[in-house]
Amino acid sequence: MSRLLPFLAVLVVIAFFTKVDLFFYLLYVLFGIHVLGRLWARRALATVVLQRKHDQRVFLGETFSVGLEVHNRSRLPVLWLRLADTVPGELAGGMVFQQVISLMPRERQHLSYTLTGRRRGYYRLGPITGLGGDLLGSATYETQQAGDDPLIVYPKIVALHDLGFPSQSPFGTLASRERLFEDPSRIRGVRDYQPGDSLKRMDWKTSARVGSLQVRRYEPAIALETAIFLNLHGGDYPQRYRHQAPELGITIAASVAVHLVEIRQAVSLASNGHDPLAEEPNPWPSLPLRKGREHLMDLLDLLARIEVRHEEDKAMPFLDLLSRKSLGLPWGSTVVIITSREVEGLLDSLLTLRRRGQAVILVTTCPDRDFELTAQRADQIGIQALGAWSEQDMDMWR
Amino acid sequence: MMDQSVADAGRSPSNGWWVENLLRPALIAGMMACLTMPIVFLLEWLMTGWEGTYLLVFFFLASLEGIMAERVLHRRGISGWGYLLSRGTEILIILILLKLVNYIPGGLDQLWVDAQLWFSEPDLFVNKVDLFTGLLFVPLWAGAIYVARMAIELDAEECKAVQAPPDRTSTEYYLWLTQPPVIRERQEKLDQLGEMFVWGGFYMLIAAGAAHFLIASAEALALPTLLYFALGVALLSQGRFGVLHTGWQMQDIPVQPGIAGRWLLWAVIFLGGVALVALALPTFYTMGPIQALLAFFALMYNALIFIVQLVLFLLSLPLLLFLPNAETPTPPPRLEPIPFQPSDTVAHSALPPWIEIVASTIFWLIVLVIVSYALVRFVRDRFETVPGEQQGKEGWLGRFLAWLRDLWQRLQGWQQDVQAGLARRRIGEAGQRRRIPGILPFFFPGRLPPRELVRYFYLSTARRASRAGQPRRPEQTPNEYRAALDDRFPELEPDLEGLTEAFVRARYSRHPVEKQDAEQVKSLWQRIRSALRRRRMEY
Repeated sequence: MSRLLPFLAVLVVIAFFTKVDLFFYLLYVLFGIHVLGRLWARRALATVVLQRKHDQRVFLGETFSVGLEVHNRSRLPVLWLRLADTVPGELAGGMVFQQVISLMPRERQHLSYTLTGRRRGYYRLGPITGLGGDLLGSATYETQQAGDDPLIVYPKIVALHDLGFPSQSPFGTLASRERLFEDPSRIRGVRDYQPGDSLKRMDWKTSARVGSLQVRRYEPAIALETAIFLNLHGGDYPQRYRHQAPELGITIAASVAVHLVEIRQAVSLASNGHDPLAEEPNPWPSLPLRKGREHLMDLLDLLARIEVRHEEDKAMPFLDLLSRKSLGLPWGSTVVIITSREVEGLLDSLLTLRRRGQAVILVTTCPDRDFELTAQRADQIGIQALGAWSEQDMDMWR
Repeated sequence: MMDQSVADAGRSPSNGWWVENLLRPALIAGMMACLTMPIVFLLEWLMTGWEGTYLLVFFFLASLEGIMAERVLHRRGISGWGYLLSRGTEILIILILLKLVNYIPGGLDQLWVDAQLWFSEPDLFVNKVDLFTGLLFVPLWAGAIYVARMAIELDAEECKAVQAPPDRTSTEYYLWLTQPPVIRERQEKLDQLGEMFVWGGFYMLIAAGAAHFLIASAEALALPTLLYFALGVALLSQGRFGVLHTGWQMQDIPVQPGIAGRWLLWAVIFLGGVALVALALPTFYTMGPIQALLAFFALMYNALIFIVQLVLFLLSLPLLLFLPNAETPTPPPRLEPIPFQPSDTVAHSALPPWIEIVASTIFWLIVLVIVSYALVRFVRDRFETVPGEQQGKEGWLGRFLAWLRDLWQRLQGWQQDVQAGLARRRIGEAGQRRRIPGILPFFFPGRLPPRELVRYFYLSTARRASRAGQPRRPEQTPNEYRAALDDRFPELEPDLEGLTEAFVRARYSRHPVEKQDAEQVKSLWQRIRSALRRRRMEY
């Protein structure tokens, strides 16, 4: 219909030349169809509201439904509307949501499609693109809404039962064999008084009932306050393992964190990876030592978002991170180091931590022929070194 | 990924059976009958006493039959000689029927009398009316079938996605890769249909105008003219839906069931609404635009004064109760319209003067809106930058000046071409008498020599590509420009390659360029032109 406007121009000339009502009427009708048709399509599309509803957080491998609500707020119908949602390929698996609908005045339609969290990450869904047009195809109009809709796919979490992490942190909730860490709130029983026993431990009521002095015996208990250090410096990972090993490290960190929170222990996380949501003043992602499910969600969110930092110049060396972020750790807490493999100076740094009174566990995620040697050296300085080079290797904690 | 119910919905036929098999054929046949009306009207005017209404009904039914038969032949895959044989038999039967139908005004008695003569004098079998109506009917019937074929190609159910051959090095894969996309083909068909509709509209306008001057009444053709446009718009609307639906099917996009019905419903309501609103608008004027505007303002001023006086009068009435000796206020004078001088060319109507003022004002406002809209569209199409195009620092004025510069350069280019042609002609270069590219080939490029025609196609493409957002920079060679166009319009890659190669051969080599070469380039150019036009419209 590209020739409609020239045709209308000729019609105007003929109409004025002949002054016949028929031509003027025809002019009005054709012009009206052309202009009002375009106005109708544009106006109707402008009032369409597109909204997306879905779970903000999903687990790896979980299939979830995304609902789209399309609402025509105007009194004009929408003749046709081609909807297409922009979805990251990792979630859609090659498929794209598209649908053609038509909306009556004030009509509301609910559409849905399913996605699968195929890969850990922080994603943004959208925008939804709506394309509409007029009756004769002289114009098409587009609207884009509901952009930047965040979605987090948590990292893989392996159920762990027995970490066996050492701890020297007193006054916790975990039973311990070390009498040094007796918890005065957890009474195990009484025994006869012996010279030298503190008066604070006397159980006067029992002593009165028994007729001899009795002192309380306390349950030894520790707190497994754990700081996880995750190395995501791209340069520390050999090219061959640059994808697999960091992902395994994230899985280990997430699984350990979940297990510890479940047994009501405090966990912290520090990494030199890249957090897409991090603000400039604090570009190194970290979370303080805390307990509780809310903290666990923050941990998992961070572990879902975090990526290997490939820009060599901007990545903080892991040893720097370790020295900076370990300063505030309480005495006796456990430090879990998750890194690619032993690098120069790592054991020295870990020895420093050990001397500060922290229990240290080194977990390497890249296969290494010299691991046995590393483990021996670590053992000599009282550090437990573990090689977790695949998910099967995590069975040692199950 | 998608819900199964939604995916299934996409496979359900969204274009109703009756739309394709009944509505569209009826629309086409109706348009053809409308196109026949001016000629029938002319015959009635020439042959006094002859009544041709029956002929319109016959043409409508025969066209409908022809369209239906076309659908059947197409569905059964009958083509070539089989098709011609079938159609030949059909037209023969229809012409015999037309002969019989022509006896409707005369009656059966006339048929009986003439039939007795046919055996003794066979040359009387075909009389003047038969000849006229037959000559009128055959092209219209063929036209109806041609349009029907185009409509068939727009049908969604005809669309079948062809899978790419697995071997990417095979000839089949190359053919598959370079085949014109089905959607593009259909859009081109729809564009052709739209152009035919517009040309038919021109014909109807000219016929109605001629009737106006011949018998001083264009109303005789008012109904068929309006009906033609109404049916045409309805057909194009349906065609548009067909093209869209084909595209959705090709891309495997689920379509909401019942969308065809909704489309039809809203199309009817919209077209009817526009027609009704247009009925309420004035189609006449009794004064010029300035005069109408002044008279309208004067009318408004009078009305305002009247309202003010009336309010003052009503407010002063209660004061009489408290001041019995006060002078009784005078009621406001009657509202008198401003006297105006109607246009000499327009007869005085029986309408009250204020209605004529308002009607004339509305009329000129509508004309102003139409002209302004056309101007805005003209300016936008030529001076507005499109997304992706180099965003110049200059505004509208700068783009307007650039357009003027471009126009001036083109005029200079034409002038140089003419001068060069004249010079070549004078020295009789290569012993060939070349035609001077005058103003005529500009309007009729088909009359250009093949070499010039290829250049014309290339330059036309460059101009259109520039409007679509990819102008050619002066330093770009044809191949560099082609590479830039390929990046921007990847779907046109094979066509652009062919066009550029032909242009380089025509422009820079001494190889002869034959008419067949130009014809081949023309088909490439037409495809590129349609695609670029659509790209522009999308913006």
